[in-house]
Amino acid sequence: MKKEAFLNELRSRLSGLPQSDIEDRISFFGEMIDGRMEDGMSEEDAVAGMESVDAIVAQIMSEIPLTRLVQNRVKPKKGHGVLKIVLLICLFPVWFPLFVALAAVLFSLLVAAWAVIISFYITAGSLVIASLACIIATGAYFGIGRIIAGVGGVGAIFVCIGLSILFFLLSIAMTKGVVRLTRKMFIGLKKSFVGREA
Amino acid sequence: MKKSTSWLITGLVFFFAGVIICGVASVLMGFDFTQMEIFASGGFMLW
Repeated sequence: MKKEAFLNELRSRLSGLPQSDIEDRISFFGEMIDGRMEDGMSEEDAVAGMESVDAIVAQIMSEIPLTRLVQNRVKPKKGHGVLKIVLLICLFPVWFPLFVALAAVLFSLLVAAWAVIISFYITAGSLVIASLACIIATGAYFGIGRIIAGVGGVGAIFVCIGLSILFFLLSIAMTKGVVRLTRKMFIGLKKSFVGREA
Repeated sequence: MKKSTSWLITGLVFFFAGVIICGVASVLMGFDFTQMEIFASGGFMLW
């Protein structure tokens, strides 16, 4: 792929961002390709050595705040501004409840996911407390001479410690998963504001 | 080996070692494992 084609593809995928941001990004990647060509690479090799357009767009999306994208999106364009505002006001009873419902569903999903994660952390914590209780009970069993029951208590300590480690690991993995999912949701939301005005 | 993998193995080893020790202690105490009530009470305790 040639430099011009790469930059045009990137520009079209970034359309919807503030114009100054697009120009900054395009000139940055253009200079990066020029630098590689000055180092002796061919134009195709220099472009091939770049990250994919998808990866670059995802990276840029994660850097730009959502509010900036929304502000740029709702800024009235010449000639269509009045019509858009009239349509927005007339269709308010339709789009506003839908928007609120969608936001509520997404929010409740996130709250539910975090509630499950917190309950897993609490379970792991309660298993740690249970293992401490088992240590005390086992000591008492051995103290009064009930050796077999004491051995059972040792087993219970092991089970509680093992389960608490497994629950902590599961909770950490779920936390990472939900954080990743939330980030992807935000990037997806941001992407819905760009790339449609090619 | 990744840190999380070693923790996972540690957790599993502790858990199964505990189950085996509990099983041995239960046999020594004379539990009859053919009685399903034992599993029911074990499940209740776990809950």
